[in-house]
Amino acid sequence: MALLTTTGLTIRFGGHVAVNNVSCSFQPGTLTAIVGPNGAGKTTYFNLISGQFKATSGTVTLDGQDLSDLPASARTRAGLGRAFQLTNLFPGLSVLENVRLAVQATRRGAHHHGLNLWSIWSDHRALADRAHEILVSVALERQAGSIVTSLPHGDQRKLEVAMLMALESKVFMFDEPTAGMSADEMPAVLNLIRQLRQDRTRTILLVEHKMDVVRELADRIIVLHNGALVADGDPAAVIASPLVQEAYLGVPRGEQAAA
Amino acid sequence: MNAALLTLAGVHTRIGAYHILHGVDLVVPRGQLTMLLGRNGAGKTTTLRTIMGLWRATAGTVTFAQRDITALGTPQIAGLNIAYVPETMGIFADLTVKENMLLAARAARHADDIDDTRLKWIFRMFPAVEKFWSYPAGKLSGGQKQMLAVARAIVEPRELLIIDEPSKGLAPAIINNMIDAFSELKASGVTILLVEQNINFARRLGDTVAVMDNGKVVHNGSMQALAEDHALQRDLLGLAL
Repeated sequence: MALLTTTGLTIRFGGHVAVNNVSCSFQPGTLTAIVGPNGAGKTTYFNLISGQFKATSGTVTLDGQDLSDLPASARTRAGLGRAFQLTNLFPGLSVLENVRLAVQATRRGAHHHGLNLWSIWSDHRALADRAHEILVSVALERQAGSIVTSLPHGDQRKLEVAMLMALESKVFMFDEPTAGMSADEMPAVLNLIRQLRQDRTRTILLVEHKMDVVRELADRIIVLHNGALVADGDPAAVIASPLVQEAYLGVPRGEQAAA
Repeated sequence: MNAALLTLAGVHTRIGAYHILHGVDLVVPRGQLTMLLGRNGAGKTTTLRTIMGLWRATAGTVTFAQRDITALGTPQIAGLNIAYVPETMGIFADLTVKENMLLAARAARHADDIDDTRLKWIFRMFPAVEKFWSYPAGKLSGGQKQMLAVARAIVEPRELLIIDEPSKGLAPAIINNMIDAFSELKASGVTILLVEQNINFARRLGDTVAVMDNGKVVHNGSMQALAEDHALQRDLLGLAL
């Protein structure tokens, strides 16, 4: 059964239909790449799933629960994890503190035992231990004490992944995770996504323009064009399709490799 | 050998308490495409901003066409026929795409005054600019805003074109269009200085390359020589291409 489903998802801005009747299901433990020309509606589709935008029509269902009327914060609690650039981090706190707060947010009751100093201390320890464990898994433990704003770009991206792990998100949404990243930083972030995919415990949605990355990581590719879902399937077949070759990759008709 | 159009000599830039550029020496040869590469935080964007007078060099000189421009303000520097696309794009979100373009076209008072051949050339490269011509620019997607930012910089001929990460967020087809367009601009005599993280893009376009690290230029040479030398790439960029 699909973990995440959008049905007839549509949003209009004035006369412009940015996302047009997109129905799509995502199986648990898979990585789906979303490609398409600039302005095709990829980021808007993410915004509709995560609740940043309210759909004009259509529904978003996670694990059988209809999230369509819930605000973004409630969708995050339900398990939709959107990796943003810095905006969901506390820039003045350390890496460990950020992750610890995210762990704490998922554990109701922690620090709610009144003035029992022992339980405050032991809760605190448990949260910090879990946060540390997560930092180890994203290879960020050496930066645990660093203030977020002082981190290099690549490490900030790793921290975002750590935050989603701490929030126990079921769905990880990445919007161009390697954009603006220098060549030496890219492998670490790609490794992390590769590792998440291999675990098969999360459902990953990835918007990415770098086709070598898409080719390697995607179990499936969907293509958005003018807001509509126009192709969906096996990566090799989708990449070889004339539509993707021409409209997205810009390969002239005569030079396209046979599918 | 081409003479230098732009030269930075021993440029230091401080931003608040931070000392970012530690004596940058950079030569941008006339009529060539120069790639400024380096890890994040190496000082590439600060170098571009210092050239444009958006940060003030605290020591050293910036020379453009044999003229010392170190102490000039940004409007005067731009007025020397230099176009600059910042990392943040600087799109006027409340203005239409057309109005954004018109502001950059200094010789034009109305959209009709913009050189038609040039505008059609831009539309071929960036179809979104034509498609959303009368829309508020704030409605564009991230990649479309990037197209508009570059389109503004080339709406009129300029002597020097400086762009901070032109390919960021763009679909492959558009990147290919852009590579063709920059080649055409270069053929028409424009000098281009690009900061770029997309190594394939850099390799396909660059004539000369400068690599920065820790606020200094640590390597200068031809793009081809760097593209062929894997050990040097690993040493300078931390990764073989």
